[in-house]
Amino acid sequence: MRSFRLFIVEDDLFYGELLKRHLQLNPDNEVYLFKDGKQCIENLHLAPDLIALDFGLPDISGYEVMKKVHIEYPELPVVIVSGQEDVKTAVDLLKEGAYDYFVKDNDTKDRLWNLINKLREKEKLITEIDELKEEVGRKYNFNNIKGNSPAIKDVFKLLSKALKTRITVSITGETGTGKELVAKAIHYNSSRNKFPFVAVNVAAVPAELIESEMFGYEKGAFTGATTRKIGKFELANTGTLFLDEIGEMDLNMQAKLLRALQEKEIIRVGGNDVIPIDSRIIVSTNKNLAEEVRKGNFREDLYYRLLGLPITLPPLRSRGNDIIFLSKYFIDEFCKENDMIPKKLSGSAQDKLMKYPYPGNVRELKAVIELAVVLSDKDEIEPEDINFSNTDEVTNFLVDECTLAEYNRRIIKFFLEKNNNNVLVAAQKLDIGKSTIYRMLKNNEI
Amino acid sequence: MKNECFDLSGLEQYVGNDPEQTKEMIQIFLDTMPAEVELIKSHAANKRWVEVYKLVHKIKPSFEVFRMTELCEGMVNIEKFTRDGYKEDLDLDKFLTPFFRDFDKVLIKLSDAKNQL
Repeated sequence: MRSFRLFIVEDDLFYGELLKRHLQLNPDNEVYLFKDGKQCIENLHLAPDLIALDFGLPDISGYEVMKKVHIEYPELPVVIVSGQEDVKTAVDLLKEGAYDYFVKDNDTKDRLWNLINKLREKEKLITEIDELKEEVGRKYNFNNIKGNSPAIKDVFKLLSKALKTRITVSITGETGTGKELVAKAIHYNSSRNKFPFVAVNVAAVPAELIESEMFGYEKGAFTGATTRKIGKFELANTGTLFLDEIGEMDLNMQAKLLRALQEKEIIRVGGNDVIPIDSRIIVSTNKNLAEEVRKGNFREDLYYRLLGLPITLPPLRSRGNDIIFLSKYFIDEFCKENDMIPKKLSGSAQDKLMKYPYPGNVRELKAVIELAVVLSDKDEIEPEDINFSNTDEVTNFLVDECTLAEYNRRIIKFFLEKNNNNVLVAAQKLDIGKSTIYRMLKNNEI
Repeated sequence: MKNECFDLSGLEQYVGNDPEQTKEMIQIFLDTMPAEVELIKSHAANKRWVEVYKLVHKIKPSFEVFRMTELCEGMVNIEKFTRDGYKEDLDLDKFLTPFFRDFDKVLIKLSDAKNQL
């Protein structure tokens, strides 16, 4: 632990020396005693962590010393230690930037001691937060979005474009494709990465609470509002606000969100003050928002405002060999985390993995692989170690009760996606004419 | 150590009950305070009441460390009389004279106490 450097500025030599000796009882405290304001200012290059300043100094008043200190070191805490019990003086000094105000009495030494401990703890927490921020940044580095398929490479291209500006980004993709991971990657690789990333799952917040959640509320705004609450928009100020499942937002709230985005300001529920906001917006949905606009469930003006740079995350089943690439990555990570010798994937296990449609996408694959590692008794994972929750790729299509035409549509769509939308290959595999598929595409059936 | 003039327990707490440091701090008090009190006398003689107030206010916390109750009460009264400039019709002398007299006595007792540590 590094020393805590403290300046005591006190013209009563006995009292100053006494405080110095008391605080030096902790060998981690490095205490300097100065008898006037001039000495204190001349020694600021020693970079103190705290200045305990007598209010009534012989040369310059404590107030003037504090002002001079704060011109050079605005963040440096200055505590006034004074014989004055005048409340007005104390309040004025606190308003002018004093960290605290102690009256000289029997408790002064304990107050200073506690303050130093508090500042040390604060410094430790700030260091920890900085380290965690760096760690989170590393975690959401683009390198951690795995994949080599053309589909995911297209996503990488868009991600790099998203970093260059503060354009709104709309991410679409099925559940488990990594929408939040991509949103975090954009934030933590952008110039806003030192500021908060605030995520709101719109679907998880009841409609009657969403406004206060987003904009905050003032004390007394409604029954139960006993204190002011800062909303997500304010929390994300200068950072990024991620609105997950935006397609679930009701029309009333959509209008309020649109206004906030247009005006770049909000008003807390029950409040009057207009609060400017500067948050980058990233939204995600697993719905087709254009379709929701057509149905009247989503405002068209909001849709265009949020569309920004659209990034569509491909379903895992259309990412070809990424399934094996990701499987091997998950095996290595899981074995490392659990101090296990890395296992391999047998050829037949790879075949089994490739045949499954992964309705839960990457999230599901990860769970399947981790279970397989645990179940496997050998160095190599075999097909019997791999268990899918949706039994198999065929029954997956049978979960919903549909018409035969709808089943046909789903099967053809599945084969198209699995084969990178190659109509010829899909038609060959299904043993149907390619014109059948072209006709369905033309009619927007698939 | 405690007597009718002072109580060293407060000082001892400041220095972690270290007798050597207690002695050193008493010595610093004995070395520095007489000059301050002499200055108060001089200011009072010349009716520089604002200066009297400032000095008494400055040194009072040190006296409180020694829990010199009577001297501190006297200092509080001197502060009250001189804070906004002394009005001649008030009898400040009834506080100043005993303060100067008692201070000299306390110094002797404090010196003895130091030697006994």
